Amino acid sequence: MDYWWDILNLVLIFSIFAISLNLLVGYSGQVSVAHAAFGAIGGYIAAYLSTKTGLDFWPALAAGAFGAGLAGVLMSLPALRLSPEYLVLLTIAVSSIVLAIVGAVGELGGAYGMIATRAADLTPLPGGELLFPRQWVVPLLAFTALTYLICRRMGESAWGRVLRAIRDDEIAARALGCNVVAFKVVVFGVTSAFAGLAGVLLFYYNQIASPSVYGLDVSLKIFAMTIFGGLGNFLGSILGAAVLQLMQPMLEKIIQIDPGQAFLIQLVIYGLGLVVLVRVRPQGLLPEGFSLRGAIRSFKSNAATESASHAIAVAAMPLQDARCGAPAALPQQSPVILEVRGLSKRFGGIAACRGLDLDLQRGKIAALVGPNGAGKTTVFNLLTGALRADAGTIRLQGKEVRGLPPDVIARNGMVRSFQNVRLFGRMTAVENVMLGIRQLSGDWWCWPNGTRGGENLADLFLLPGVATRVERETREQAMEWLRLVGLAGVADTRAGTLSFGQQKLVSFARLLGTDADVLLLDEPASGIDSKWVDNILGLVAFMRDRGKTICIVEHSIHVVERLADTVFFMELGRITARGTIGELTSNPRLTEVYFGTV
Amino acid sequence: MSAAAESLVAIVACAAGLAAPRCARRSPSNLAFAQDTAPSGAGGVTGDQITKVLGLDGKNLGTGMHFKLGIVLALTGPGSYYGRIQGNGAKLAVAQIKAAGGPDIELVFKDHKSADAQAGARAARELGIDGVSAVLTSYVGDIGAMFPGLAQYKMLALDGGGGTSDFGKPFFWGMRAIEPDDDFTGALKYWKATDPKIKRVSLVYIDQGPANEIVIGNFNKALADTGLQLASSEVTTIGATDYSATIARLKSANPDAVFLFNIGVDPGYFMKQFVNAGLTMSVIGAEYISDAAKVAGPAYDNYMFATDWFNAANPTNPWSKLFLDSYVKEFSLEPEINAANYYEDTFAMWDIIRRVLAKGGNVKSGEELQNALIANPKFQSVYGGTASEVGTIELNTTTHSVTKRPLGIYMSNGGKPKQVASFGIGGTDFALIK
Amino acid sequence: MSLEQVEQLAAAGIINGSFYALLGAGFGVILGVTGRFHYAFALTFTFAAYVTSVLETDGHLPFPLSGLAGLIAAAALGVAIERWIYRPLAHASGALSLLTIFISSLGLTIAGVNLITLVWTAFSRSITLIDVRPLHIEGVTFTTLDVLIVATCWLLIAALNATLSFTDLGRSIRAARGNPYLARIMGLEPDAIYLAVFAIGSLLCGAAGILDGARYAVQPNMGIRPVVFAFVVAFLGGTQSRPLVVGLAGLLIGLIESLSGLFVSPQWSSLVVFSVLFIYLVLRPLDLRAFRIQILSAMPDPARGE
Repeated sequence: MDYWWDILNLVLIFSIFAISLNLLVGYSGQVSVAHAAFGAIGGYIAAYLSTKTGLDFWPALAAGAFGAGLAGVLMSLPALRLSPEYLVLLTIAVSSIVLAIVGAVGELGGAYGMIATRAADLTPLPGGELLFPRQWVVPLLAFTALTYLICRRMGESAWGRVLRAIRDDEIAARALGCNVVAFKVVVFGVTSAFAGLAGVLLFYYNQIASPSVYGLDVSLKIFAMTIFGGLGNFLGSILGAAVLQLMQPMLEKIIQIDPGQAFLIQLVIYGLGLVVLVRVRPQGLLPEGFSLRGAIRSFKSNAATESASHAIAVAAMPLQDARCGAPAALPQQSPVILEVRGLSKRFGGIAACRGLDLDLQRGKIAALVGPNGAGKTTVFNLLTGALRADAGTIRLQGKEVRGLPPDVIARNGMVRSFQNVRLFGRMTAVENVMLGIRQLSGDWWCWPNGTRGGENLADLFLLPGVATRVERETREQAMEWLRLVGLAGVADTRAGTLSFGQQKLVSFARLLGTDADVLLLDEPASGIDSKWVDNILGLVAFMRDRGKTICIVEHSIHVVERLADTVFFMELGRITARGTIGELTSNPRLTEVYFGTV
Repeated sequence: MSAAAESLVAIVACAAGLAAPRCARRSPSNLAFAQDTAPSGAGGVTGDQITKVLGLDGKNLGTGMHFKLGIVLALTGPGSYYGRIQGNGAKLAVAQIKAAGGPDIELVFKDHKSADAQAGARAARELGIDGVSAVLTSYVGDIGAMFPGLAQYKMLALDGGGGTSDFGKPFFWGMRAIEPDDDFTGALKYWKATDPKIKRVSLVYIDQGPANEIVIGNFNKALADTGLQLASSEVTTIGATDYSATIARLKSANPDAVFLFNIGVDPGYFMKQFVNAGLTMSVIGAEYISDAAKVAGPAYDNYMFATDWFNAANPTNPWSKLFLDSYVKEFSLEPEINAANYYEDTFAMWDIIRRVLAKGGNVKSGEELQNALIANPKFQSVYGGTASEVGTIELNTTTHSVTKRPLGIYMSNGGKPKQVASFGIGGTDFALIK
Repeated sequence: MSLEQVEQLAAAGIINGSFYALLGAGFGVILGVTGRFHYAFALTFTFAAYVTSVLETDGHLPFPLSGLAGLIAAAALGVAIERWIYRPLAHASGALSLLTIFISSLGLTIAGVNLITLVWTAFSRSITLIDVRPLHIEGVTFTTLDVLIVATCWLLIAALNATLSFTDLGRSIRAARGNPYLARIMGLEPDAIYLAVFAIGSLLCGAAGILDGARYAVQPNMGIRPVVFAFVVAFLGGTQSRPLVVGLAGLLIGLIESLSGLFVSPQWSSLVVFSVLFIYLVLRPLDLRAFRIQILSAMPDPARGE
């Protein structure tokens, strides 16, 4: 029986590795093959402290997990700006460095590693010394359950929603006000800490910490467990760990031939098994978002969503009845909400922006027009901080925002839409809109997005009631916005399956959800047919009436005519004319530049 | 395989009776797989022959008793070649023991995947759970990973592969001379005795972490004892194939001789590059295996080695001859040090079992087995001895390491190593062979 | 630290670096065009060496033929893997294909390496390409084999470079690498191009394996460490870069690894290499990309008739 307890124990320890890796790879999209190396950091810290200084189990465990977490945070800093392929490379480098160090430093035992001097002792908790496999079962179940619960809470909450947004489209997430940097650092730190925890447990279980216990092949095995179990599904990770860990003992029982060959054959079958399993079920044993309740619910609602996705914006709320977006303009405020002076940006030899000046009047719609290549989208990128300007000032409500990161600018009240929409395709429409909505609060623990509720770890774990309430309110608000744009019927449909027109409307709802004062819309009417265009233009006008300041980039003169109070004409990086559309179209030079003819 | 596991190729000192071409390699032509699937026969040896050569008195043999003997080897990974050879030796012994009236020994094989610590820890646990009381280990108990399990489940372990580099571990006993500490004592004496021009010696040795200091300390002491000087010392990684940096440094240090302590196939790669770099000083190593000789090719012509090697060309006592003949018959290969060690260690286990049975004790208790060992730490050996007397191996009950073991200096001699000197543990009784 | 020692280590660095360059170029073209994390590169590496070695010793085929057979075997294996393992898996995995292919590749390598051990044992084998004789130039020693290795590596890299720049196939490959969508619209068949790329990349890999087997020895785990270097060099050089640039990255890695022996004991050399890599990745987004673009734009592009 102890034989099976032993196998179960290893499955549990590797589940901790796999669950935490899932949070990193599956939810955040950060591909890492250094997971076992963080286990090494944890395991070696615990080994060193317990053998050299006689530290007890619990303090050693805490030290190991903390040390690994810290290392994870440190690794996340260079990882922030790396694309996925380079991130993998970084994790390979980290893994090799960690293993080289623990394998070569004499104090850490070199290739022989360090052998434990004492068994794990659970005092002051009940359980005493853990000597035999059966004694480990309950503690390991507890550790695994803890890991599962924490990771699940993080992954399936508003916090996890932001993670998934970062995974699917980091740029869009940033533009909505998500502090991507902070989220990445936290997720690296937390998942590495769990890896460190598992590493400490491995040390105590095997009573040895040596480089081969935490090698690159172990990282790859954990990686396989996570992928095979199903990215984005923690139960799947436990299953994946169980299947892969059980393969060897199963094969040992089945293949009873000469030992010299048996072990080799087992490995051949194991390798082929991986190939076959991943082919048969590439999405993993349990795909993302799969849960029994969810499966039943979606089965029932399938019929409803079918028809909804074909509906064009029916049942759009009459605009005057809308309850959101209360008028905000106060008489004392300055009429100019965004003041741009001397904005410049060069790319090598090309000057995309040359001393550009712009004023946006509060509660008015401005249009930015000009021939292709004039630099209009670049201006939006510069204003929202997606690109760093070389020179100039950008004052939003009197506050200088040039040089601030995009998410800070978004939280300060200036957001933009994208020409290619950039919805989070794997999430539902309502989730997309919820990602725009933030309950900003000035409290010090409202970090990293400055919000209350599930996006804030303190609330998530310490004040679950607040988190639930905020989540409910956010969802209600999101539904309001979806109703406004007439898409409440497709709220629970995956955004990636919606038509382009519907996506544009959802992205608009998302933008409105941010409650930002300044909305920069990049070609809001392009790529959709006239019926949709009317909808969107109506919404734009409505928002202006509610006190929002809007600037649109547009090619269509008709749209500009209909909406814009002021028009800025942009040529080769600077504003060469401004006025009403009538004034500009009566200028022969401009029409020639724009249309190519008078 | 991880970089670490891959690079820990064989912490097993090997020697190989080598390369008569008929023995060099099994052709895969008539087998589905080329691994040894020879039936575990006794190689044509009868029970009577064993009884006679070992001088057994027929009492307390343990006839018909079922005994589980764990055996933890490198069955996969870079060292799997050694695992196979070691397994051969044990299997042969098991068959011969049974034929001679001994117990039905069941070899419980476990794979430590060439120095995977986790596999080793698991193997120890599994054997313990299975109620095994005795184990043959390798790689120094899989680089120490098995020590905790051996102590916890109280299983007596003999390691004829890596011996022991760590002293006094409970239940763990190394059955080999200490590498390189015992080896280089003889090597230095050899240089002193044969070439007065050799004054400065370099030491090239593998990284063993905390043991490095001990190795260098002992080397310096041995140098002082023989009146030689240290030219330089270089550390290499176990399993490295590229020695260009080390050799460049040796070139600068320009010693008169080099003692090479690396293991497995490493000396082969080293010598190949050493010779190709145009270096000609005398090299004595601590290992010789046919694999390394193959890798080195002609670069091994002037290579010498000092170790407790099993010389298949010259069996020293009647039991060695019996072993040699039966091994060749059974496996169509000449036995190497690995096979010889596991063969005689299995017999040593039988000896211990007999002692426990004589006292009416319980052979399923690892403690009782160990006590029987401690009471008389001497066993019969295929090494040493004389034409009429079987050799003996003696262990130290404090360090759990050997005190008596014949070592020798050999020239590689184009594939049939020739002995040129002999000495004992610690370099005692050094004598050139005329 | 003498000048002679520096020169000797530099020579070793160039030899190793050329080897890494070949690995990186082969792996890089596969990764850059198909986006597949082809870990089974290690298997192709090993398989080519075994085919050559077995044919040479058991089959008594002389080097040019046995080497050719090894190369063909490598290319065939690479193509087979792409056609029957990766392609169907990629279609089935959709967005997850990067990860699932990596897992599949891993499984293939584990199975393949152990299968090789079953068939041919873990006993080391050898490959003899030419008569190995030492050469001494100005106090630096290397062998005739080393010269062959360096020459072969760079010849193959140059051939790959030329193929990509001048031939129709090369243009198709570069098109698919730059913009697979558009390439398909233009009528290029990505499936066929992928097979070609795997054939080419695996051929280079096989060559590296044979050279490695000749230089050291042929044993089942010989490919595990090289595949990591292949990966590192391919990324360092840039997956969309010209093979010669990737080659230079490999040379750089080889030199760093070797010259580190001047300052630290050789056992630390891999730590030095990965630390340098780590530092590069940390600094990368700042300056070096711009730096590399400048260099690249300064190089003449034969395809544009420069």
